[in-house]
Amino acid sequence: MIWLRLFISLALPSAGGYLFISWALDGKDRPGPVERVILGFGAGAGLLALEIFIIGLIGLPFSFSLAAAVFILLALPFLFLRRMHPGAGQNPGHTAGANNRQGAFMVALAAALFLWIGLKTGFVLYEGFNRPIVSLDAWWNWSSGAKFFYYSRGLVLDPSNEHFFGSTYRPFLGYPILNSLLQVWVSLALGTFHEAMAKAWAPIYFIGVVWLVFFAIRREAGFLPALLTAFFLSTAPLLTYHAVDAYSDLPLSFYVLAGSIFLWRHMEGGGAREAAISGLFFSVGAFTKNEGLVYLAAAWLALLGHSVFEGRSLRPVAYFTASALLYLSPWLLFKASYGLGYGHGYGLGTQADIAGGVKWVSSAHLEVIGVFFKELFLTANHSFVFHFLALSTVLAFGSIVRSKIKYLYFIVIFMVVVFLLNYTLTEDYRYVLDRSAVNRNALTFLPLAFFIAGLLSSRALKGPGAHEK
Amino acid sequence: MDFLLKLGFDWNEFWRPDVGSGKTINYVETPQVGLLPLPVFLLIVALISFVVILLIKRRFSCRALFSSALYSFMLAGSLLAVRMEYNWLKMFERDFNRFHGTDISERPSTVQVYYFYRLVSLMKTSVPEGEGIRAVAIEPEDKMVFFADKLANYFFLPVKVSEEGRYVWISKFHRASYDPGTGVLTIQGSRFKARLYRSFGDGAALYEIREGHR
Repeated sequence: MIWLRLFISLALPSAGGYLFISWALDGKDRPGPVERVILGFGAGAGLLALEIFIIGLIGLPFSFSLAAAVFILLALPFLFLRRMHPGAGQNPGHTAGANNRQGAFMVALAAALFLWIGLKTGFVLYEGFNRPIVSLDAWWNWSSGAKFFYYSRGLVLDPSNEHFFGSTYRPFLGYPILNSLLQVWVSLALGTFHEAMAKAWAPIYFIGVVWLVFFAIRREAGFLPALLTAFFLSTAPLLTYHAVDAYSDLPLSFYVLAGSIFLWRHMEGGGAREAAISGLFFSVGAFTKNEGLVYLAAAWLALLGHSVFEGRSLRPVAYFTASALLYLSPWLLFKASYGLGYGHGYGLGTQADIAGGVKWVSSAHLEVIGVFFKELFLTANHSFVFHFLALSTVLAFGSIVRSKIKYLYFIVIFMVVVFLLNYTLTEDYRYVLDRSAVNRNALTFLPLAFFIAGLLSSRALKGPGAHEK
Repeated sequence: MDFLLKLGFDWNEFWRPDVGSGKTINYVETPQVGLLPLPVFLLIVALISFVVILLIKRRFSCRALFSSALYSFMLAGSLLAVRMEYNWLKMFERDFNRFHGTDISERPSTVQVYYFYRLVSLMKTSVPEGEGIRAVAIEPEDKMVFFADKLANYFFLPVKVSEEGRYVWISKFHRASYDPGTGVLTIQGSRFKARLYRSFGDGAALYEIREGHR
């Protein structure tokens, strides 16, 4: 019975998100059904978490039936809207067809890669559904608050309550709460806070990033290059670890990747709705972790840059902004009205530091720069994608600058610069020196880095001109 | 002979699995090849492979350099994958044996906080129904206690910690003392008139606050 309940807790947001994505992308460029299910899970989880947050804001008690009923009511219209859409039912294949050599070796290689990814998927599902939450960060940043909200059946928003918004259980009240609310949702479906299954969404995000990269690269370069990129991403060691625990970097990396893929689709001839979906995914990222707001700003700047420098209309920028604001405004208004900050609130007691402000240092900690890049390049956390990107930036610099890939590069570089500024100029420098933050930060743009590497490789290997689209 | 012994030792060390514990969510342990971290060793392999591919191709255009780099990194990435996926295989092997047929409440035995989890579970069942646990303010600089307290708050749920809780818990991590003569419990600088409610051994105990309880 518990497995059926778990299935429902994962299937319901996927189905609702699937309807939304299918409606939003109806037409000749619509992704295939599997890709829509993956995107649907991400979008559905984001919408469901926001819905539970709003239920909490209103002061209604959390319950599975209420959360599920409201979500179904919200998702159902997309089923009918889609049926009324003239493009409904079209589902063209999206294989680029380039380099699709069907030799026996290629077939054997593809079969081996599929098998490997399949076994890995089985592993993360098994561990994700069975292994209790083990990491300290997951406990105190996300699961403790989730368990408290679940047993309180609400967000406890009375400021005079000693447990206001999870105080005592949530050390940083300004932290976004998608992670915690997804744990609440699964717990509501299960009827208990299950120490292992509460984070059952984590392996789904892992599967999501691997196959989103596959489908995105397949559109550009064909089947085998896409499978190879997905394979290398699936073997990135730190990504695997996060796939079986309850931390927020993996969900954020999913939303950054999904948002970037739609940004790319927009730049490659898509319309304003691709920009709007990109804005939606980036804003869900900002509801996942505070640095998601910086990703949102980076993506917005990239889109604006694309519109200005490529002589395009600014309408997609407006769509992107509108969809992001629409999704994020309840959270941002809530934070503003209660004075919740955006920093870590360093130096906390058992009571949460509500303001959670940024703590600047008197002199820059430049030593963190070396540690930052050492972690990225000389440890076994991320496979070799950053090495490859660094070298290919040198080898294909001119091509990158002339192509639209530079806008995706911009997002990664912007984030690296912001992370480094944060670590050199604030008290957070200690989180680099003790190795607690750098690799998790890099994890948030790791799938995007693989996407860029796959795009760059496919275009560079196709020859002159192909990469300058 | 010494060389062979060292080689055998290094070989065993290389394959020693890092099976993921609470402390490593921030990074995975990087295996060593002798004195070199594995990624550095594999970068050398990639460099050699890069040169070999170029020599076989006998072309030195940007495109040839790019494709050679790509194939070299794919080789290095594949070798890294073989070693690092071995960790997950061993983790699965361990966890499958421990989780199979095991109730969820016993599964924290796979992680390092097992005894602490058991301790908090025992305390939780010892607190009379309807009563709460006292939250005692602890500075984050007192790291061991600070983390233990946060973890305990999580494990205690659905019993909530509160400023008004009648019961206060201590472990060997706390800076606490109890004078049975006066019945004064001093914990993290706070003083309570209390009585020992139950001892759990190894410095862990539950006290009932008799004065100062609101």
